Amino acid sequence: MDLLYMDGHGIYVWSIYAVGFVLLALAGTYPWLHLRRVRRQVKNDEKSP
Amino acid sequence: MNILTATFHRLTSPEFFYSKTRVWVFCLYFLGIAGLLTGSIWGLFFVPPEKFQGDSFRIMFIHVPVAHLAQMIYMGIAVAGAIYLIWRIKMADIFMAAAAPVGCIMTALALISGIVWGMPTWGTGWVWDARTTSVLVLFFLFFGLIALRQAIGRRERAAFAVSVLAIIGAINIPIIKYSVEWFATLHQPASITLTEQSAIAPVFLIPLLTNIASMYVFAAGVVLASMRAHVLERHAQTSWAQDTVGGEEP
Amino acid sequence: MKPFTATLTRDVLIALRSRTEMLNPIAFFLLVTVMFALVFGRDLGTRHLVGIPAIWTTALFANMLALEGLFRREHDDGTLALMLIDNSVTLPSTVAKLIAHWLLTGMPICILAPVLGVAFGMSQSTLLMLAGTLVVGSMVFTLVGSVCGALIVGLQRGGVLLTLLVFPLYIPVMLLGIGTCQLHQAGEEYTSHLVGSLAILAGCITAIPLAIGPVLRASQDQ
Repeated sequence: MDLLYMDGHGIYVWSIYAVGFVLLALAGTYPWLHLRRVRRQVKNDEKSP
Repeated sequence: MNILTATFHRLTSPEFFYSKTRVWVFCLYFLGIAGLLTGSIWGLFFVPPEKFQGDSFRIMFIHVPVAHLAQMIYMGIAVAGAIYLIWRIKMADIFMAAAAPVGCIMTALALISGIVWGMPTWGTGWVWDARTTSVLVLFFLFFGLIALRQAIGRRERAAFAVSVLAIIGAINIPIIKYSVEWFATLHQPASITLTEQSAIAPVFLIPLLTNIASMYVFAAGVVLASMRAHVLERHAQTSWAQDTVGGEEP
Repeated sequence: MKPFTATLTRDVLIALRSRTEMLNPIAFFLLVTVMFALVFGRDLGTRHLVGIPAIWTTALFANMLALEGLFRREHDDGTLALMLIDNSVTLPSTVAKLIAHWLLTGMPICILAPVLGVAFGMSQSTLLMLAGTLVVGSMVFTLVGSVCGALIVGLQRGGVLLTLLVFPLYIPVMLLGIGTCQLHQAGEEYTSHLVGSLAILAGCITAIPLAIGPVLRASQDQ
């Protein structure tokens, strides 16, 4: 509990680590979603003509 | 040397780039995430609290790498802009398209973590000093780069416009730093300095450097992954794109 | 010299004939500054403190307001394409456009600013300094803004985007200008700030007229 509380600074530290990792995870997953979308698109193009 | 330049030249070919960088992306992601986890856990649990700031200094292990990366990514984009304007290398444009959102997120995170770090430490979240202001301006510049690309339909025109804006912004950033510093001298000297820090003790330096290096690796992985998606998107009509996608899919 | 004078007279004449468009930013400047004076005017100390930044920021926004129309008409009626065909015409006519734009939006603001400064209770020398720094500042606003205007010429929803693009670029000269005036008002040494803003102006005057032609050309070819 002490570790979480950090003399009252815990809320600042933990919230930043949480927000930071969420944002970085979003940044990290977005290219993969983009790539998947593009690949699907390319596949459809291949089929249609 | 010859092999190096040859590889470099071949990397500007979209087909070669797409097929070869797949492994790199995985390696960079793995190393980056592992490094970030190591550095953060180290900084959170295995480092004693700082003498003056107590535990809130642990935000530094996020804030410093992210702020540093944001500036570096902007520099990279500006250099890529110059390369595009001079040699019209398409890969430079793809780099700019891929890196701008990453930089935008990094800058946002740097601003948020700076504000939250300032609250317990200096009693105020926001100080209009040179560094804070330039990071805020950096955020607007990244946002402008993304918005400009979105707004312009035609690809060559968008690439040109984004390159010009990136270079103007890169000239602008140091001017802003100086003007804010001069502007600040006119009011009473700031009682709080966000920038001046005594030399960091080695105990803190090791996790910090781990995180900075890992943030580089991670950002490189993300930008590279995004570049692959952009490359495939722009060459969707070509035969190699159809072949690779058709062949790879399980 | 022909394309220069032709463009200049044409732009000024168009502005004088369609007065509402030209008066828009000036009216905006007038109204917002008067509003500031009204809101902060009661307390002498506040009035003293707020005057210079209020006038400067309002001048900045008035300039942004006028910026969107800088190349719009030329783009719409095809004059811009003609301006860009011949290299020898491009530079003089774009410079003429910039000068016309400054004459029609920057200069009126510089003339009005010291008049409005009275409402904030500034001393006469501060009023002069305010006008002088605004001349430098509004020239930089016009020059820097014209590049961004050239980047987005012909886009559908350029207005908001333009504001976003120019905003960070306007900050340095605005801070230095406000700094000069405030130091002058406080009776302190202000040369460094003044020289700083003049240096920015010099850099802009050197580089931007040359850069604007290629930028416009890149946004033209379909």
